[in-house]
Amino acid sequence: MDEIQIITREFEEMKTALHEARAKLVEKNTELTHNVEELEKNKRAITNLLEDLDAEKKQVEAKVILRTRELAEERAQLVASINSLALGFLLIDNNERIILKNPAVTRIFGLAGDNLSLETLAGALRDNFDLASRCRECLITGKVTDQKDILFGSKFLRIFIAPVMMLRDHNEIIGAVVLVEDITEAKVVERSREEFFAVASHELRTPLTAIRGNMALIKDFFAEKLKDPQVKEMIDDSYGASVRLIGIVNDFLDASRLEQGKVSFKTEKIDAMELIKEVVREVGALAKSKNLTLEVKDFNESALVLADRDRAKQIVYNLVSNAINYTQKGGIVIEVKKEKGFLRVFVTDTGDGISQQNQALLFRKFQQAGEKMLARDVTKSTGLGLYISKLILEGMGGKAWLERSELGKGSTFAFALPLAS
Amino acid sequence: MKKIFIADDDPAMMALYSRAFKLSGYNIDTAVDGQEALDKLLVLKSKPDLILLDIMMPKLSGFEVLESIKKDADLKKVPVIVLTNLASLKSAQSDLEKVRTLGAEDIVVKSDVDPKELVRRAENLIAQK
Repeated sequence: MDEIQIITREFEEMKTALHEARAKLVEKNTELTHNVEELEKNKRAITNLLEDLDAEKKQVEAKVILRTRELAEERAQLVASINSLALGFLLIDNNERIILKNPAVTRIFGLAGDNLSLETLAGALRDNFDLASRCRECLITGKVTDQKDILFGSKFLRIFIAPVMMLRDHNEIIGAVVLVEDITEAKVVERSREEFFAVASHELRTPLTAIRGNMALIKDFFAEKLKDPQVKEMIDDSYGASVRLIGIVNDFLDASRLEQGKVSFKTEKIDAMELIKEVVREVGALAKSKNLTLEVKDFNESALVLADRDRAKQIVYNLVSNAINYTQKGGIVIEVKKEKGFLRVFVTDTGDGISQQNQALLFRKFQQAGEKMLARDVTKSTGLGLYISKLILEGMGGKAWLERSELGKGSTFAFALPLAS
Repeated sequence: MKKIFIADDDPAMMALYSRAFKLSGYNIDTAVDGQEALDKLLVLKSKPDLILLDIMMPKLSGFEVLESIKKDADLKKVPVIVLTNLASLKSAQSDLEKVRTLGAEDIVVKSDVDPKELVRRAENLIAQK
């Protein structure tokens, strides 16, 4: 019995153990099934990811191809632009090697070959321009060179050297650009122009002077013989026209010399008020003949400026006589003010005034202050006066401008010259 | 009668100035280039009362003639008016200074000064002598 009981108990225990084992197996099985599902899910996610990556890769590849093409196009455009320049173009790196050059360089220097070096070019320019040193200086310090009139054989060159900088990297210099311009033709034109003006100066003025002089002689010595008032009038007109024509030739020459920088200005300490009063005395009769008032406002400080006396007087004369010429009634007021190291002179008239659109044309060549551009009043001026005044003032470190103007009410022209103290 | 010596290579200007001074009662002597002017002036027994001297002339320029005149014991007392038609006085500053240094009494831009005014200036200089 005991044995049966023991066996039965053991059997029961075994059964329980089997049950427990089975339960665990079932549990394990469920867990595994779940894991498999997870793995499946992960596998799907990875596949999707791979597919996405693949698509993205293809997109990036397409973009790279497009950008590469764009870059190639940009480069082709740049190279074509550089190659089509009439200017010689050289790009050099930090080791002073030429990394890009256009055909104009070969044409200007008459030196062929792909292996053209900076030394070869520098040698061709000889002592007339130290190309190698200037390039080196530019690569080290970033100094820009712009030199004209460099003699090369029978040519005149202009050479410009500027650094190539990486702006993002603290202005690091990564090379230099050298531009070479053949200015021979321009020099020839400039020389012919100078010759023309020299000839114009002498050859035009001499016969004009003879006409003016003889007309003046007739007026001065034969007045009693000019009984016919018409003859007298014709002589007067001819005399007036010759004086005007000489004035025009002088203005042309004056403007031309100023434009070419051929006028040297003296730096004198002059009293602007004295100068203004002198001009007012000279043009007083003209103002009086038109019944215009001519007033200089009091200025109780020193009006000493640094300027060339004759040239400064020319400007005051020009502005005041312009004001008289373009004013029919009322008058002209001249006022002086000090501001920021400059003496400013204002000439205000009660004349016709200038419209907005014509204001923009003032101080240019051959422009008059009048309203009708085609109906130029040639008896008043050549239209060079303000232009000449502007050039003169710039030459003396000053400037000229229109302070204000209103149609029908008049204008204020102004100029400034540096104070002497 | 006072005498004016005119040196100018341009026939029209020569005619103009000769006429102006003759009309004002002067005698005239002339030269058409710098060399002729200097040669004549140096040998003239009675020196002129005033010399009108153009700057731009063939053979010898007015500057060169002026330099020689002012070195000559007799001629240096004769007042000289230099004539220029190169440009206005404003832009001929260097010429002006050179002429003053060389000792000319006056300088005239031909195109700016009428003959009567030139005669007046000449009369003043002769009166001051």
